Amino acid sequence: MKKFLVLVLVAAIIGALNFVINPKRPAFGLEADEITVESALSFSGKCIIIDARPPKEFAESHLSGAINLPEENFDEHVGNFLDAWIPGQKIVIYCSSSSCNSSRSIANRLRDEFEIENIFILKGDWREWKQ
Amino acid sequence: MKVNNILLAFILILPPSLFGILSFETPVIEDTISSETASYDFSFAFKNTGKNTVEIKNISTTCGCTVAKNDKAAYGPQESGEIRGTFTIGDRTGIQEKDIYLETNDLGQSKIKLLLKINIEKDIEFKPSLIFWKKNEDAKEKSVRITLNNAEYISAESDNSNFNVSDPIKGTSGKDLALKVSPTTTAESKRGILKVRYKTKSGAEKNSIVHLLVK
Repeated sequence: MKKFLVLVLVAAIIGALNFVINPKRPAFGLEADEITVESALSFSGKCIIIDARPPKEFAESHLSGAINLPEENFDEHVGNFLDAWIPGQKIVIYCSSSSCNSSRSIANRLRDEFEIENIFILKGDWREWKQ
Repeated sequence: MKVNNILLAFILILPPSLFGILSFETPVIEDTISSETASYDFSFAFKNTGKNTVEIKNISTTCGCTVAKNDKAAYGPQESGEIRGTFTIGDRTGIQEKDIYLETNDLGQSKIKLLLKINIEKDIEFKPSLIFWKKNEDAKEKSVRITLNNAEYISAESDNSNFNVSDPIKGTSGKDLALKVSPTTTAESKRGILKVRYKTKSGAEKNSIVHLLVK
């Protein structure tokens, strides 16, 4: 048993070394505009929530008060967002999971094309926020 | 016991090539397409350069707009294959990055990430796409700069009488022009749309919009 643990330890050290020196290692930190569910909860009601998922998924379930702004029908839906938008207010965008990139695309469009600031991307599962 | 430990140690340090290994010609596809493109078909070619058969157990994407599938379930040593798929464009513009994940039964390479990086060129671009006045600020003229990449300007008008739009002012490059827009009043919140009509390279006439907002 002791020898087994030693072997596992050696393997773990090799893995850790690989993580340190491997240039293709994954990034675990948050970008400057990314927030966790915990941080988003602190905005409590003082932010506009955008759901960047397709309309079908939005219709099935979404965060209370969220506005649907999907990538594929952006032009059709952006008017609804502008009606709800309050200048200067924080905006939090989520999509299906922490690995989806629709929220990033929507954030980029609102920043670059609409020159809107205070945009945050939710990392983590939006369902945790719902709970 | 000693033999078991040696075997375990051997497995832990086995190089991945002794398992199966899917080697992709390129794990990233980069391309530039016109905004008139409805969908983009792609293919990632690979070869199993390992010693064992690799089974692809699942393929997932980070966007419902991207569908990908393998041509067969398992690939023997030295066998080639393809991951084919389609990216549906919709209203997307600019650089789009869509991840595709393969899950295999292989211990050395259980998850493989492929990347589709597509630049969707816009026929016409606005800077900015939203012209905004704060409520009760001066109802002064504000400009929108229009860049015609693959388009010819036809006309522009507001969809309601709450906003005035100037004639186009041509820029120096011949590819850009500006429009000046002002609200009739900023005493109350209002929203409008500036419709810009243009002709694409293929001769089709289209509208693109700039949002106008007093709030």
